[in-house]
Amino acid sequence: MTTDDVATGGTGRAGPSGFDEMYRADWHPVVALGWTLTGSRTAGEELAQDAFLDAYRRWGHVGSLDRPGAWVRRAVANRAVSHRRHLRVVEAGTARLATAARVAQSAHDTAPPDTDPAFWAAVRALPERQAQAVALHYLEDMAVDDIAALLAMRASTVRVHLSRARRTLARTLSTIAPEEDA
Amino acid sequence: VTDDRTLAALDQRARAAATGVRAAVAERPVPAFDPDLLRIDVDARGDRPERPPRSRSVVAVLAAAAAVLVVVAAVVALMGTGDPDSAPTDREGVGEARRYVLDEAPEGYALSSVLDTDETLPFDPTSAQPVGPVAVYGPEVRTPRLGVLVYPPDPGAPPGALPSLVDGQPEVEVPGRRAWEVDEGFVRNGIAVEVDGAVVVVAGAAADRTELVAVAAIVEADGDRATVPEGLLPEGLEHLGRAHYLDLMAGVDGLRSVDAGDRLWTVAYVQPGDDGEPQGVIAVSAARGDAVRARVPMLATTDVEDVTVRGHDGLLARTTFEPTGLGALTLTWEERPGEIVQVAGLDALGEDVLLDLAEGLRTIEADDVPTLRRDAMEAAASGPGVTVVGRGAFATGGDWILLHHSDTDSTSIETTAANGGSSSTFGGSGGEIDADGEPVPDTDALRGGVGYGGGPDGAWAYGLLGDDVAEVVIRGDGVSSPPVTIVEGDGLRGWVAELPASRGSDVPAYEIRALAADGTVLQTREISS
Repeated sequence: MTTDDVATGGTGRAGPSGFDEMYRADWHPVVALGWTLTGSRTAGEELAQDAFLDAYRRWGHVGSLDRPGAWVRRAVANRAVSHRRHLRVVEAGTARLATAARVAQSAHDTAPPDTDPAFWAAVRALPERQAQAVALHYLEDMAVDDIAALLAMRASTVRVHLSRARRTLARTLSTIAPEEDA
Repeated sequence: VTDDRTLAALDQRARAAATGVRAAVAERPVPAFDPDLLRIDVDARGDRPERPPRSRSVVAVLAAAAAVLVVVAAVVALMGTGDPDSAPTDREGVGEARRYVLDEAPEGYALSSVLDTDETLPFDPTSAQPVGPVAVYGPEVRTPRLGVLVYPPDPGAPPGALPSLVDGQPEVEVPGRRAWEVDEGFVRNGIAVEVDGAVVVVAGAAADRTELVAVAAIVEADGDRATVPEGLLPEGLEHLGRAHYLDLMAGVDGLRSVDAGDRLWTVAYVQPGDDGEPQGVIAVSAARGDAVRARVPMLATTDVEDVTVRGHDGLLARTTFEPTGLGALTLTWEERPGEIVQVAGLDALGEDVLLDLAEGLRTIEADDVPTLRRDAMEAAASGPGVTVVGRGAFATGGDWILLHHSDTDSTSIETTAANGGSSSTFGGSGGEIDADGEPVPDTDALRGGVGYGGGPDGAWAYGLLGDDVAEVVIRGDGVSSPPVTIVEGDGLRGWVAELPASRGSDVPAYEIRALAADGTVLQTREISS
């Protein structure tokens, strides 16, 4: 998918009958976004289902947007944040065991080696907005202006997030080769 | 210093990782969209006020996560409290779990949390995907060899769909049945087999392959329960008892055992690093359980060792977390009939130290728990990079401290409230969406978002405030303007509100408004599942 595709939600302007088209076109990239931001493919699919369901229910509004696919991505990106926060709620009582919980989580959510799980784990360790910006940037080759529009931030803020995120990732990943996390 | 070359290498790796994710995602077809199948009203319980239908959202996601872990866990699995009818009565856990603490924490470690669930579970199984118990088989209790359980369908999957557990897994020949190999996470040496439309997992880390296939061929599924007909059991196997899936990986990964829901007592000790992040952790737990439970880690890993602890037979299990290579040690034993005790730590602690700590455990009484909780709260407040924004007390009992962590620019609340221990920590920026799915812009009014934490005994919301905020108003499920305490400390302003206890993993929906002195709404945020 190209940046232009993303900018139009992959389907262009969708009318009342445009939901199915958007759903088919955007399902995979939206799942990818949810997966990488939550660390769980299952959770990513669940978040995608919820987001598409919400879009369906609000199609009168969402379908009239220039970029309904962006609306779904934004919902998934934000809910991925809530998802991870909520996991911490469930782990109340073990919150101080954060380190152990994080590594345990990574151990249980296995992913194909080609997906480089260690890289995405490092992305999720970034501040939330940085993680969202990085995931959109790399997964969908999304331009700064598009990320800014999607996350309702200024382009300059996105640039700062991406810059800081890349420096942090470069630093934290420098000792972890992709092969190590298979 | 991060140079251009390093950043270029990062970009290359990132794009390869993205390509891998896109390819993996594309391997699965786009599922048919059916809004009816996608909707589960998690609040359809008679004892709750009627609410508008909601999407499954995080509750379902948690259920899905539990389902994934079950593969993992199921076999590990675990606790002998699941099925009193089918477990031999002389092995059923009927004991009472006492409150164990380290006699003396290792140097650098400090008490960090206390979970005393007593009669109330911290996890509401009714809000999670129902998963059946695990039937455990082996020649004798000391050597369980395999477990069987019904693996639930993926949430939202159409009727008859196979769970994603078997996606892409190599098929294995089981007479008369479709079956797949499963060997991931904590399920080692397993077979998933289709039985009358259900999928049953049969696994045991040290089980003989022929034995697994034989059991997979005869195992029966009845609702959420899997059973091997007694008369057909392979020679040398007998039914030892049943376990509960929620006690995920306890015994193998005692550091996560608190999540399971039926730990009655857990204290954790943390060794903070210079950056405030935990560098080491020790968890001490006790629960009602039987000898089956103490030995069931043997289903999940062959990396176990028999040890003697406090004069009892104990099992030391080792786990390595990938990709970090960080390892954990979990020591489990039956301290007295019906009482299982567990001590777990990162492997850097060392087996000898772990055993010494276990030998030195002492019990405390219920009256001592408040003091212990206060110690944990104060220890958190004195950590590196931590600023105390304010202190207060809940109307329903228990003190709190609102903390700011400079390294992550996040807030947290520590309390002495029962089972509040260490609450969830929310921080960072934004991330909320409003009713229209639009992101809530970042402002300084409710700085860094809002936090929500608590459990069956109480809940609370909290956060930082900008200088212009004069009042915080909360509305939500059954709540109308609960008192909000505004505090100031060390140049920071914060707020804390006491809320009704949450149930299980379901977070009620709340709206938090920050108001200026003239009543102008400066910012609104929402909390919900």
